[in-house]
Amino acid sequence: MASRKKVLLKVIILGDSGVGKTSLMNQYVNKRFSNQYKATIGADFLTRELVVDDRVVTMQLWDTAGQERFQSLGVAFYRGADCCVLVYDVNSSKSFEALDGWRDEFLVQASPHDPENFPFVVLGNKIDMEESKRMVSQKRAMTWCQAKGNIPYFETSAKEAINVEQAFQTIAKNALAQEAETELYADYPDPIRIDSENSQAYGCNC
Amino acid sequence: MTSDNPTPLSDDPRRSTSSDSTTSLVDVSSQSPQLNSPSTTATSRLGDDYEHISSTASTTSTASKTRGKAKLLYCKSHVAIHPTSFNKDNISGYLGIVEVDSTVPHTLAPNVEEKQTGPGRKEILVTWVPNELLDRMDEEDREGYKRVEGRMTASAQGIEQEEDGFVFVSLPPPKGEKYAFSIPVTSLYSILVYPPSLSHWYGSATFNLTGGVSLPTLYFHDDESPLLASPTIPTPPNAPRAQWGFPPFLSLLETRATLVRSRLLQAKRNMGAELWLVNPSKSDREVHEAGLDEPEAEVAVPATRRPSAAPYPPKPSYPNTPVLNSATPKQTLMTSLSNLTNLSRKTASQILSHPLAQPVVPHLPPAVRSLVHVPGEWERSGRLPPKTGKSSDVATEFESARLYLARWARVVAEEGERARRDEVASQARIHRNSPGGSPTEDLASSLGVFSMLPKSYSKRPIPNPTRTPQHPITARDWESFAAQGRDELFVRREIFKRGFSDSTESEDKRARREGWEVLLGLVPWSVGGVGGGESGKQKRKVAREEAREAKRKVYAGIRAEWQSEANKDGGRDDWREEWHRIDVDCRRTDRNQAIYAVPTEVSKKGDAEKEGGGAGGTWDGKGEEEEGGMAGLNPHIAALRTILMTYHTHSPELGYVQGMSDLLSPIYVVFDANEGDAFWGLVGVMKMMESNFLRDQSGMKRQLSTLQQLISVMDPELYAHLERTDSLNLFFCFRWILIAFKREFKFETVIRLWEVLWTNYYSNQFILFVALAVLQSHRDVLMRYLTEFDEVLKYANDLSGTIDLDTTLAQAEVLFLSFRSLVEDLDKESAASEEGKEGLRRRKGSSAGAGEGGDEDGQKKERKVISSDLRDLLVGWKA
Repeated sequence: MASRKKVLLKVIILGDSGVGKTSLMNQYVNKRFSNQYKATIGADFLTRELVVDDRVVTMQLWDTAGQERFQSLGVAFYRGADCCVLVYDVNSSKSFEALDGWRDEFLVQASPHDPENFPFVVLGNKIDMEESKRMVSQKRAMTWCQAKGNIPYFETSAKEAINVEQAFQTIAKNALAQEAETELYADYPDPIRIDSENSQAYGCNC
Repeated sequence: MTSDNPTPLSDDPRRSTSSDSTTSLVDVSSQSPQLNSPSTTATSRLGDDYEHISSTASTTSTASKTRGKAKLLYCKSHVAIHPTSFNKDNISGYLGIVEVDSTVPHTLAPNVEEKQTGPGRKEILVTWVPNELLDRMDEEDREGYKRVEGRMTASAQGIEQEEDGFVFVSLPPPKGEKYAFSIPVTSLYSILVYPPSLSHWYGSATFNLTGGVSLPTLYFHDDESPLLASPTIPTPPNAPRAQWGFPPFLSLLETRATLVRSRLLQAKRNMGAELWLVNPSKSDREVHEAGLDEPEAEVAVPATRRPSAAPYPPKPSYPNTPVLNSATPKQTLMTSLSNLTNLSRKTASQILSHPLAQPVVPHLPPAVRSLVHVPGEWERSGRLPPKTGKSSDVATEFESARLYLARWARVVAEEGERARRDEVASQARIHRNSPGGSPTEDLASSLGVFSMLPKSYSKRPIPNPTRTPQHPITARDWESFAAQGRDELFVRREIFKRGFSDSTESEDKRARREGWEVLLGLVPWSVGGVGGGESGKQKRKVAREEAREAKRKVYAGIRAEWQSEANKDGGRDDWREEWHRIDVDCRRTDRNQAIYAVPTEVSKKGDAEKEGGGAGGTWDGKGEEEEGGMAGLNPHIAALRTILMTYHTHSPELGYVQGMSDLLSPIYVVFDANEGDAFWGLVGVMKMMESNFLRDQSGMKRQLSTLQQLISVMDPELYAHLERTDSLNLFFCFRWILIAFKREFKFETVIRLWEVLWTNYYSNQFILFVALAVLQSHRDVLMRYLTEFDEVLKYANDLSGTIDLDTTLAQAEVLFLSFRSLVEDLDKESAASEEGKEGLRRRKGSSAGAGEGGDEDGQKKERKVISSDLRDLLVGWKA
C-alpha cells in the first residue's frame, strides 16, 4: 500500500453550538485559545501534520456550524471523512444528549462504507470549569461511548490545553486506520491486493 | 522625468557628438569637472584626449602599487542583497565596475573577448562587495570606494572637484563569501531591472550569467545613500522615485559593452521591468528586438549609436486609463497601480509563455520564473491536469508556493486598490473644498477596475458604474431630500449611489439612522410628509419620533410576554434551550468592537448580568451558568441577547438561527443602542433575508443555485472551472450570502455595504451580483491555482478582510447592468425569431438554467436561456 505517499486524513468535528469545536481545533493546530471565536458559519478547516506510527500524515480538521438546520448542507463536507469527532460540553446535559443525533446524522449524510465500524471519537470539553457546574459525569459519558461500539472518549479543555494533543493523536490514528480501510474499497478499476498481515496492522485496537 | 536624471553623463546633450567609450571613463573614473559646466564641446573633447594620456600614464606610474588590483570606474554604496524577506538580514554593500588587465587572474572569465577598448587587454568586471568584507580589506581599498562614490556624488551635485587620479582597489573573489562577487562583463547574459515603484520601494537589478545562473538580486537603498539623499537634487514630489541608483551604473556599463533592451518584457505591463541583454548574440538580439506587439516600446539601440539624450530612465508608462489626461501624476500613478498589480501576474505569465520568450525564461529570477512553471500553463487547454487519484495530494499542493504566490499577488493588488481608493478619496476632499472641483474626475478613475471583466459579454459596451461613494450623504443632504419633496425611489437611489457619511458628527449619524429606519421599515419615508420649509421639518421630526415611540411600546410588550413567563416557572423548555443558544452566540459576537468589548473585571460578571437588561438575570436564575467558559457579558451584549430572544418568540416559525446575532449587532450600533429600535431593525432585515434562515435551508439553496446560474450566464469559463473543481454547489459562498458578507468586511465597512444592499435599488438580490463581483475579481487565482473544492473554500474564507468594498460594488453594478442588457437582448432576439418562425421552434424558458440549449437552432452557436430564478434578479424595489 502506498506507504510512501503522504496521507491526508479528513476529520469532521460535530457537536452543538458553543461546545468548543472551533476552540479545540485551534488549540490543536495553532496552540491558541480565545473565548471570542465567532460562531462558525458555513464551514472551514485547518490542517496539521503529525506523525502516526512512523508515518507523516496531514490531518484536515473540518469545523462546521453547530445549529442543526445547517447540517443539511453537511453532505458536501462529510464526504470522504476518515473520522468523526463528536464534541459536547461537560457542563451541558443538552449538548451531551445531542450526541446521538449528531452521530446518526453523520452516518446518514456521509454514508461510510462500513457504518458499524466507522471511527468516532467523543470529546467532553470545558473540564476547566468548576466541578460544581459539571452536568455530565465521566461515567455517564463512558457508558454511552461503550454502548456505541467502544468509542474512544477524552475529557478535554481547549482553554487549558488539557488532553487536546492526546485526543487528536488518537483521532489521527483511528482516521489513518480508516483511511487504510477505505483504500480497500477505493474505486480503482482493479482491486488492489493487500498483504493480509499488513492490513491487520491497521486494525483498531483502541 | 528624464530631465531629472541624476547623472550628468547621459543628460548632457553634448554627448550625442562624443559618445565613444573612452569619454565616459573620464566622466566617472577621473571626474573631469568641465563636463558639468555648460561649456563647449571642445572642452569635452579636450578632456577626452587628456584622459587617454593620463589613463595610460597613471596606469604605468602606479603599476607596482596596483599589481593585482583593479581600477574602480564606478561604485555605489547602499546596494543590498536581501537573502530573506526580513530587513534585519539585508546585507548592504558596494556595487562597482572595475577595469583590470586581463592578466589579473580571475577564474570566471575563461573566454575574454576582443572587445575591449584602449591599449592592452583590459577587462571590465562588475563587482559587489558587502560592507562587512570591505571593512576587512585594507584601509586603501576602503578609502578608494568611498572616494569614488564621493566623486560621483559631487559630480551629480555639480560640485567641482579636483582631479584625483584613478583609484585602485582589490578585487573580491569571483564568487566569494557573503555573496560578494566580481564577474566579467563577458560572462553577463542579461540584467533584469525593476525601477522603484510604490509597491517596490527599492529598485532592483538581477545579473543573469551566460551559464544560466542568476546572481542574488541587488536592491538599491537609495534613501540611505549619499547620491540621492543630497538636498540639491530635487525629487519631484509626485513621483515615487524618478531617479534611482541603477541608471548611472547602466550608463557607464553601456560604454563598455553593448546593451540591448529586450522588447519581450514589456515594461508597461510588468511594473516597469526592463530586461537588458549584455553583448547579445545575433540570434538573441533578433528575438529580443523583435519583441511582442508593442509598437510604442522603446527599442534600445547599441550604445555606440544611441542618441544620448538618454532615454534612461525610461518614462514610466502605464496602461491607459480614463484619468490619464486630466489627473495629477500622483493620481494617475495610483490609478494605474491597481491595474498594474491586477494585470501583472497575468501578463507576465502571458509574456513568459510566449514561445519567443523561452530563451529568456532561464535567466529570470525564480519568483518570475514560477509564473511560467504553473502546471498546464504552457499548454493552456482550459483543462486541469488530471486529478491525482486520491485527495491526499491536496494538502501538499495547498502549501505549495504557487498558491502562496497567488495569494500574495492578490494581496498586493488589493492593497494597491485600497491605496488608490484612499488617494481618490483624499483628492475628492480637496476638490470639495476647492470651488473648481468636479466629481466626474473621481468617477472616471473608478473605471480602472473594469480591465478585469471577462470577455463573455464584452461585445456590448461596458456600462458605467454610477456610484459615487466619495460623496456620501451628510446630514444636510439628508434634510434636503425631504425639504425638496423627493420621493422614496429617489432617496433609495441616492443611498445606493452614495451611502451615508461615516462622519462621527451626531447629525450625520442621525442621517444614517433615519435612512436605515426607512430602509428597514421602522419609520417609512412618507411619515411626516415632505417639503413645507422649516415648519415641515419640525412636523417631520415630531411625526418620526412618534412613530418610533409607538414601535418601542410594541416591542416592550412582546418582550414582557416571554419575560414574565420565564420568571413565573422557569419558562418553556424549548425557550430555555434557545436562550442558551442565543447567549452563547451573543457572547462571541463582535467582541472586538468597543461597544461590545469584554468587561475588564471578570469579577463583575454577576453585576453585568443583572445590568444586562432586565431579561438576562431573570432567566430562572441561570444567568451565570450560561457563562460556560464564554466571554463575559456586557450590557450591550445582554441587550442583543434580549432582542434575539424577543425575536425568537415573536416569529415562532423561524425562531433564532445562528447568524442573526451577526446581522443584529451593526443595526444595534446604528440605532444608537436602542433596544426597541434595533429589534424592529432586525425584523426589517429578516423580512428581506428570512429565506436564508429557513429550517430546510431552501432559501440558501435557491440563492446559491441562482448564483450558480448567474455565473454560468455571465462567466461560463469560471462556471466550467467551478464544475471541474467540484465547487458548483458554491458552498464557499455560503457565509457571504447567509449573513450578507458580515464576516468578510470590517464592521464599519459592512454598514456601508448593507445600506446599499437594502435599497433594493436595482435588484432585491443585489447581493448575488456582489458575490459575482468578488468571484470575478479573483477568477484569475481561482482558475489558475485552485483545483479542489477544499482549496476553493479555504481561499474564499481567507478573503475575509481583504475585499475592497467600493471597487466590488462598482463592479457589481456593472455586472447587474450587463446582465440586464443581456436579458433584454435575448428577449428581443427570441421575440424576433418567434415572429419569423411562427413558433415552429418554440422554446420555453427552462428552469434548468442557462448555458445549454441552442443546439437545434442552426443560426445561433449558443443560446442562453434565462430561468425564472434569473429573471427574478431583475426585480427591485417598487413604490
